[in-house]
Amino acid sequence: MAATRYQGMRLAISGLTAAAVVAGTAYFAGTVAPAAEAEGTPDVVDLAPATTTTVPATGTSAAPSATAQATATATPTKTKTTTTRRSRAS
Amino acid sequence: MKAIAGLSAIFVASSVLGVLAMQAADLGHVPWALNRASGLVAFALLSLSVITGLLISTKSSDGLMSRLFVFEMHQFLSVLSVVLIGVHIASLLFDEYLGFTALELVVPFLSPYQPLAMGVGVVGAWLCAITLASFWMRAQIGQKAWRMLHYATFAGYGASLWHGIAAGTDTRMAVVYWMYIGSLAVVAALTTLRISGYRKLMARAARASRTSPAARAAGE
Repeated sequence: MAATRYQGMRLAISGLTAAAVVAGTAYFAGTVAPAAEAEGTPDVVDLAPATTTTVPATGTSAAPSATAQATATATPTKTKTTTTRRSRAS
Repeated sequence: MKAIAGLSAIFVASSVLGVLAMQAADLGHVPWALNRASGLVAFALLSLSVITGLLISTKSSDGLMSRLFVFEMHQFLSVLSVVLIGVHIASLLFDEYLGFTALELVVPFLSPYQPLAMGVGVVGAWLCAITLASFWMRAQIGQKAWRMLHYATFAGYGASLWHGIAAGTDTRMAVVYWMYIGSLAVVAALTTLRISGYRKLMARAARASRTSPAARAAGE
């Protein structure tokens, strides 16, 4: 008796629950913490491999690549490592 | 009853097949996002379940809603919260970063990640599941045992709250923070009302027994 009586209410609660879970999952899946925030959290995850760009010094015989040309300065040869970080606490 | 058993068997079988099928797939961050979302929704439902249970025992909703309606909602919210707790736990099986085993997710304090907070969460999940099971075992275990078992809900609620705050990564979000505060405030207020009401009832019963003709006769 009661089971059929409140069937509409149960369906409404189930629907709202499913919608909340789907919306929450979509929200959290699309959230990536800024690197600055991630640095401070203990559970930081390195998800992307470190990308290394070698910037040759000016005046070297090797022909610089297009990327290096764009970023080259008058400083001696140095290695710059850029790491993309994502946090679980995003 | 047979239909429920049949549906449950189909649900368990399809869940196992689904788990096996999805384990090979690269789901990226989805399991982790699902874990966070389902955990928060499960806590919201558990809070509502505890609150409706307290509304029944304190009779606070009498006059506003029918007691049958509140009881039905209490039972349904309990079922839904345990289902969501199941989703919350199962989603961790697919998370590649934490890499939990099934055993670590069902046995308390085995988790290599935050063992205490995770262990408390597992204990809370078991308490909620046991309390839910007691709904249908009332006739078998008796009213007194059922009532004692039902008090485990408070421990389950407290454990879930602690787990959410200590292990959850979203407590700093305003909506989550205020959900925890609001839930705790309402549950604490209704529990206080429940305890004070129980004491009043006991005092009234003691007074009645003292003033009863039989008690007066015994005193004389």
